[in-house]
Amino acid sequence: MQIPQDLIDTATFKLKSVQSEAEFFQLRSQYLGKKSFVISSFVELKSLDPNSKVAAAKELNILKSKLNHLFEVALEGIQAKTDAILLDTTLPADPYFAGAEHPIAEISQRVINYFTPLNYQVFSGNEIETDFFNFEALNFPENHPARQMHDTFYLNAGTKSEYLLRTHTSNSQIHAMLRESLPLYMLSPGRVYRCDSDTTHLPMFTQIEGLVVDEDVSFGDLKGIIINFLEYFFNEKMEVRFRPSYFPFTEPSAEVDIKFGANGWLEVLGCGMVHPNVLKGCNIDTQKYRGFAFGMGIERLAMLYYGVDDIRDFYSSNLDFLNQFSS
Amino acid sequence: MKIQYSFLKDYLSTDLSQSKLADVFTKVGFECESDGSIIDFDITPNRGDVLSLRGLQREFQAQQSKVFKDKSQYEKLTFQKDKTIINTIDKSGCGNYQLMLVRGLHSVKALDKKKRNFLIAAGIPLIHPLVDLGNYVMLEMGTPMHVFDLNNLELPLNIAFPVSKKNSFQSIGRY
Repeated sequence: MQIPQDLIDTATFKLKSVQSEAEFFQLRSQYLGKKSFVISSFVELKSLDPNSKVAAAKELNILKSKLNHLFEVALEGIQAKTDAILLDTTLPADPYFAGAEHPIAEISQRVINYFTPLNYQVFSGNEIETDFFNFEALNFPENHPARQMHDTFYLNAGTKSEYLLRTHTSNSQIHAMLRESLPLYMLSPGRVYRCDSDTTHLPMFTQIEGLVVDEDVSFGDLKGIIINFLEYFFNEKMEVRFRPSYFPFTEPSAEVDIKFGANGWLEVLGCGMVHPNVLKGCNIDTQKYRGFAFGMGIERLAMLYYGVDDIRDFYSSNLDFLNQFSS
Repeated sequence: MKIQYSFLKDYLSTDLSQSKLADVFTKVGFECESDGSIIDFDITPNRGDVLSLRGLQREFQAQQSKVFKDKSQYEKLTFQKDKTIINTIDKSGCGNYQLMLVRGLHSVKALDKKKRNFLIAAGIPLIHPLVDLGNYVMLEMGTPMHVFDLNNLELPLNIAFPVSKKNSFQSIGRY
């Protein structure tokens, strides 16, 4: 077998004129591809006699490894050259999207920020709840018409399951009163579920519940803290109106309106003095302790705070909308 | 509860405008929404006593610091037990039940137009002068009332007020 001696030299010479990776790979296939001299010679080895076969194979292997080495080194050189061309330090950087807090989370935090310095503990509650904690313990007896005010989602419909998706965060009041020692100052934010949907209602929304049980609290304390909170929240002096209302778990109950526009009032939260039945159910001595509670819809506060008209915007995952809140 | 403003204004003998009147009731604790000339009252579930014109009048006069004057006139009637009319009665789900049988009616005058419009505005369809009268009294006084056609009843009656779901029944008419 005749092996051309100038193979390495011609390859080295041709490699010097290679400009791009494409050209390089074309050249490499000429020397090391299936149809190249070196590779096809390995096939021819079979037909040689044993003695010359060994010598030729050795020579071919040396040649092949020399070529391999030559091309590897050349490739590195070519890549370094093309990389240097690609790196343009004057180009503007790739856009970098920083995450931001969701407006609802931000408003929740704003509410919590007001109450934590007043020594309120933050509790998280269960979103899947039993009938007892969502209704019974909150003074909603079975068949009471007040249950109809809550369009409840029951789990495993039809099987008379006692599990449901909580319709308000008031359930965490009961958990807290049963678990914690008195006096109790608590706050519980979380998601609640009602079968309702339009521009101002969603089947899932967020509430924050507040509860105080102490020896000497009155409706006056409740009024003071609510008015002070609203002024902190909206960052301005505001006209607030307490309007009698009804919740089974508070007596007396009130809804709180703020003045909006020239002569319109807007409801922002509900509150009241905890009903003695609720305290008794949690083994609290009603002769010694009294309590007040309040609950507010975070979406409602966020709509007022940011001037959003459609509550559904908060959950439509529309980045154009959400980016307005990142600061 | 939907009440026609013009009717309510006369009933309460007040000059307040529709929005002012709605404001008064909202402040008292019954949220009102105006729909044209009709005010829709959201009566909370603990205040069944306000579910009538008389109930609204009581609240209104209390808010205006006036003494409530009952406009209704009462006439004492004596009731007798009559086995040929009522056979059995189970009052466990109802505090007080009275039945009055009226026979020999030949022609009945329809309610006046004002009351008819009031009923339509309240969402109660006109059916028969007697039924309409019963419905009107119910809305004015807040007492549940029903008028039956004797031709469709079989005497003596067995009356029950189911208290449990076990012997519940489907009521006729609209929800």
